[in-house]
Amino acid sequence: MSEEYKRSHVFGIDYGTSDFKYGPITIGEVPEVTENRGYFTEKNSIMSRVMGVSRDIVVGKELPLFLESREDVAERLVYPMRNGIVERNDAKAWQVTKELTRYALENFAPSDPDFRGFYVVASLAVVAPRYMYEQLFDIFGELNTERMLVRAATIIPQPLAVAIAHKIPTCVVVESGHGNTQVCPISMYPIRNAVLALNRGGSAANILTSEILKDTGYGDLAKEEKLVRRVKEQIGLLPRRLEEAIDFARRNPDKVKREIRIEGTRIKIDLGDESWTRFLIGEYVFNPGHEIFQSYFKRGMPRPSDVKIGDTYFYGMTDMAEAIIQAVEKCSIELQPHLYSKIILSGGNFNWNTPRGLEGVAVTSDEKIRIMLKEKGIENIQATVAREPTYSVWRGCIVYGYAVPYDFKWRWERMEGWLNYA
Amino acid sequence: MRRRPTIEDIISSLLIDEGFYEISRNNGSMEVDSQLILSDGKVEIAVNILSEDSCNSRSMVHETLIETLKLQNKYDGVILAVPRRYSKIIDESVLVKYGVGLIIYDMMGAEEIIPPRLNNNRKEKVEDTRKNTQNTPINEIALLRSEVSRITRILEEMEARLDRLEREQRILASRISELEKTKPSIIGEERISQVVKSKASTYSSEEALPSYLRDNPWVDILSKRA
Repeated sequence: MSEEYKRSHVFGIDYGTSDFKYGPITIGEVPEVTENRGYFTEKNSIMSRVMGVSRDIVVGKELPLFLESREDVAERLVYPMRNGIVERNDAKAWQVTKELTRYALENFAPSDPDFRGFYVVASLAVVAPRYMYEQLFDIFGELNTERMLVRAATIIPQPLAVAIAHKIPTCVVVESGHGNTQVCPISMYPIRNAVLALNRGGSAANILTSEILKDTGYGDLAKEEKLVRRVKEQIGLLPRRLEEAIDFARRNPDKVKREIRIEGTRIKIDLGDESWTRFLIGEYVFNPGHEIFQSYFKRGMPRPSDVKIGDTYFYGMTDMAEAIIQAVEKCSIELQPHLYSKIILSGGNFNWNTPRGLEGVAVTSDEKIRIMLKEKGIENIQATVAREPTYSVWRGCIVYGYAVPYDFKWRWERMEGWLNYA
Repeated sequence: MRRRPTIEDIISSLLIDEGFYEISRNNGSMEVDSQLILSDGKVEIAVNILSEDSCNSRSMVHETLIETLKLQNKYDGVILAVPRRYSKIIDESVLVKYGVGLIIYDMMGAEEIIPPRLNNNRKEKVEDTRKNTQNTPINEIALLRSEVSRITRILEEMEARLDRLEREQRILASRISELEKTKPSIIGEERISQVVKSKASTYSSEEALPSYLRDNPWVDILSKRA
C-alpha cells in the first residue's frame, strides 16, 4: 500500500455525544451527520416487516421510521455516550457504536475491486479512557470479517482535531458541548496531563433559562426542553460585566426588551421588566459562581456539581477563565504565553452574539474570555470562536489521516499512529 | 551531596574560630538536648544546647540550666546555647552571676553573648597558651587540630562546589548527546517530508484540496511523524 492510496482513502469519524459525523476525504468540505443513537427493533413490529429489516439495531437517518409509539421506546432507543464517554460494560451502547461505524463505512465503501479498505481516523473526547480506544479498535477489526472496510485505523482526541482544522499547532482548545466543557492545551499534540474538564455545557444554560421562564410567568413552557433551548438561543445575552449590564438594562429597559415568537405556534414570549435576566443566561455559562445565582440555587435549581466519569473529574463551578488558567499552568512556563495567545473556543455553547444597540454591554465569547483572563492578570490573549464548529473535528480527522505517513505504526505509549488490519 | 550544617556544627565552628577543637559531641543525652565538649588544649568547656522545642517547656529550660551549672564542677567553663528567637527567656544577669556563658544561635550562625567564667582564669590561660603554642607539644596539637577543622570546612565547601559542577556537566553532556541523536533523524525527517510533499503534488493539485487542507501547517508537522 502506498502513501497515495492512503491519501485518497482517508475516512473521518467524529463520535460526538449527540451527533455522529462521518465521511471520506472525497466528500469535500462537509461530512454526513446523523444522531449518535440506535434503536433496538422488535422484529415482529409492522415497520420491521414492511421494511424487511432483519437487523437487531437500526441506526442513521432511517431510524425515525422505526420509532414506535410504545412505552418501552425509551429503553429501545439507546444514546451510547454520556459526556463523550461510553461506559465499559454497557453492551447495548457498544452495539450501537459498532452499528453506526459500520453504517458510516458501508455508505461510502466503493464497489471498485481495487478498494482495499479505508484509513479510518476516529475522534473521541479528550477525556475518553483507554478502554474506549481498545473497544473501538476491536470494532474496526470485527467490521472486516465480511469485507475489508478498514485497512488501518487511528484515534485522535477531539480538541486536537479542532486545532488541526483551524491550522494552529500551539493553542488551547476549549470545547464546550451540550453536557460538558473540555479545556485542552496543545503543542503539536495534546498535553494530556494538562486537560481539564467541566461538568457544564449548554444544558446548564437551558436549566437557568427554564427558571427565568418560570419566574416570568411561562412555567408551562419551561418544561419543553427543545423550546427552552430555542428561547435561550434567541434571548440569551453574554454580558461584558454582569453588574454593568444589569445596571444598563434597568436604565434602558426598552433597549433590552425583546419579544420572540415560536415559529409555527401562537406562542409569544416577552420577559417585560425582567428583561435584564437575559444577561444571566450567558454569564451562567462562563461564571456560575457569581453571587447572583445563589438565589436560584436556594430555590432548588441544581448547582453544577463535581462528578467523576471514567477516570476524569468534571468540575462544576469553576469559571471558564479559571479553568483555562488551571490547564495552562500545568504546562511548561515557556509555553504558557504561546498558549494564552491562541485560544480556540469551539462548540455551540460559545455561540453568543452582540445585538445592535447593545454593543459594549453584550459581548461575544472570545471578548468575554479576554476580559475574564485580563481580570485575572493574563495579558496578550488572543481568543477566537471556531468557525463551523460542527464540522471542525471531522475536518481535523481528514487532515490527520492525509498527513500522517501510512507506515507510522500505532503506539499505545504515544497514543498515535496507524493500527494496521491488512 | 553536602549536608546541611547542624546546630552543633554552627556552635562548634564559633568556638573553633576561638582556638578550640571538639572533643566530643553528645546528641540527645539524658538531661539536655545536646552537648558539646571542646578544648583548646589547656581548658575544657562544655556547651549545653537548648533546642527550640525545649524552649517551649519551662521545666526543660530549668532542668537544662541546673544541668549546666552542675557541669561547672567537671569542666573549666560552661556555656548555655539558646535559639535566637528564645534568647529573651534567659536572664543574662543570672548567668553572669553564676559564671555561665551564653551563646545564641540560629541557622545563619552563632554569637557569643556572655563568655563563660573560667575556673582557672580561662582567658589568661588561653593567652598563655597562645603565647606558648610553639613551646609546648600539647598546644601544637591543639593548634593543628583547629587548623584541621578549618581545612575540613574548606574541603566540604569545595566538595559541594565540585558536586554542583559535576551535576551541571552531566546535564550538559546529556543535552549534547540528545542533540547528536536527533540531528541525523531531523535530516531523515526532512527527506521523508520532501518525498511526501512530492507525492502530494502528484496526487492532487493544491487547488483541488479542501480548504481545511490548503496551507495547513499541521500537514507538514504530522507528515514528520515516524
